[in-house]
Amino acid sequence: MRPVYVLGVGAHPWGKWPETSQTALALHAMDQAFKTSDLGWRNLQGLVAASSRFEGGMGWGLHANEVVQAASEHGLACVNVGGACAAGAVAFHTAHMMIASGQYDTVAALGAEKMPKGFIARPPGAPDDPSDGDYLRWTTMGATNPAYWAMEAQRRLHDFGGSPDAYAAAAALMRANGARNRYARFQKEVTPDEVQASAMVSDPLHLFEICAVSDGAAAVILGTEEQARRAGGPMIKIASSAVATGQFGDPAARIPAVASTPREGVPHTSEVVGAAWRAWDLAGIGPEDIDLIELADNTAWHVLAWPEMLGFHPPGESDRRLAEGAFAIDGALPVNPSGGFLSFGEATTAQALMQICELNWQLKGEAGPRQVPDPKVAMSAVLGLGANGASVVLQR
Amino acid sequence: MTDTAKPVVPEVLDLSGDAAALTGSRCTACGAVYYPRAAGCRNPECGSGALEPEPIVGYGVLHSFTVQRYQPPSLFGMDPWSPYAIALVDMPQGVRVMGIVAGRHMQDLQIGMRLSLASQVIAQDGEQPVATHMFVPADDRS
Ligand SMILES: [Zn+2]
Repeated sequence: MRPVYVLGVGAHPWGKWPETSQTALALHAMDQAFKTSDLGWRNLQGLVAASSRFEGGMGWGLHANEVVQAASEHGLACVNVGGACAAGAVAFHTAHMMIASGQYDTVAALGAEKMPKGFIARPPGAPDDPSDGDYLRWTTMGATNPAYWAMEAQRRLHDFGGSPDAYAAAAALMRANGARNRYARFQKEVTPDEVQASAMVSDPLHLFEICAVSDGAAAVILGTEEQARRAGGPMIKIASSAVATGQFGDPAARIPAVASTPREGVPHTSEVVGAAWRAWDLAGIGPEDIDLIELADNTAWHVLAWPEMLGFHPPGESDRRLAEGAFAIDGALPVNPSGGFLSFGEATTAQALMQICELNWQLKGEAGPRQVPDPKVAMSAVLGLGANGASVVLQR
Repeated sequence: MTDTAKPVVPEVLDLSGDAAALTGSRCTACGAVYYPRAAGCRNPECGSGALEPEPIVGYGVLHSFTVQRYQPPSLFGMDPWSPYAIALVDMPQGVRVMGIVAGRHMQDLQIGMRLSLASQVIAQDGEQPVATHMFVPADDRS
């Protein structure tokens, strides 16, 4: 395998864009990525689209082919991948491997999403299958995604004797970071009191502690060392990318399952932990080497639980570390300097690519008012429904 | 009360006996229990894959819970709808099961308490009541 570099990144701001088609969002993100890389459509030998927000490719989503047919029909390879909310990172991993193999020199990974309003529901046309957890969670108890996260959040309070105030503080930190990011949908800071004054959705989680759904698009263009060198400026190398699925015995309340068989010694959210640890292993690094992390904060619980789960510090310490400022932009482990999902709202398949855009901006020193001081190694971690996990490590 | 009720998904809930039972399956080799019934054993250390029916019944321990305060998308037929608790309960068969907690107990939940698996009518299909599985505190006899 040969080394692979980020040549350019681009995004369309997150929000609700009823007048803008999914293809138009995608083309906007690609144009931005081309601008930052001095490349054009005709330079691309491959386009990998984060295609479906659902496992198995069901439902609606983006196809690389449609984007190419609106931009440049020069016969490039189009690959469409699933992986639900992790699909963007799966697309990135695929593009990474295509170039690392030596068969392609320049490949882009793309995600663009327009989300329906409200709770994420079943994919249209899904059959009524009594062996399908997704069917059962809706028909037998009507369990929304926030209900799953809320049960984790409730359990955390029990396990460590913490206060729900820590969730509010975590949400407020995300919104403070998002207020400095022009790509974020919510650019207004909120105080912990305002978080706790927002509607209780699923105890103990309030509205501002749960990510909304948004429209948005993000793209990353990858290439060879030679191309990166020719482009000039700081070279952003892909130290590693990894994809994993869940492990038997995982104690997590895995969406959309309605039962689990927890076993001793299996990591919580093993699809994400498995991907992150594999990424560290491949890069030859450990948690002490990470200068910032972008993680999938579907809720404020994730902000506290994931750094522990990944092994940055022992379980139960996040509340204190957050209070001491460790997760802030100038802290020991900046968490989501972008503002995270809580500031963006989730545009499912595009979200993991936005994380990678942020890693790139941070490492290049282009993050402006939310710049982490002089980072060298930055990582992402993302979870997708259906037990999809992925992680990317970039290095300057 | 639920004698004449039909399960909202008949394949996964058995209301024919004295106590409500979820229709799980157990691996004859490693003992792993699945709900709903699995196509094969997914324990990577097992590999046998022979599964037999395993009713999930009785008393469990509350692992965690939440109160869902907003009406979920259609498909959940509770009528009339009002906020309710959803719980994760560790059942004696070795499986952690999600389900609703009977409405009037919503405020009394404590992690670690015992709950028993029961059923409750959530809607009517014409004349026939429709029920789903539901947890009630173990000391509640009503
Ligand atoms: Zn087995």
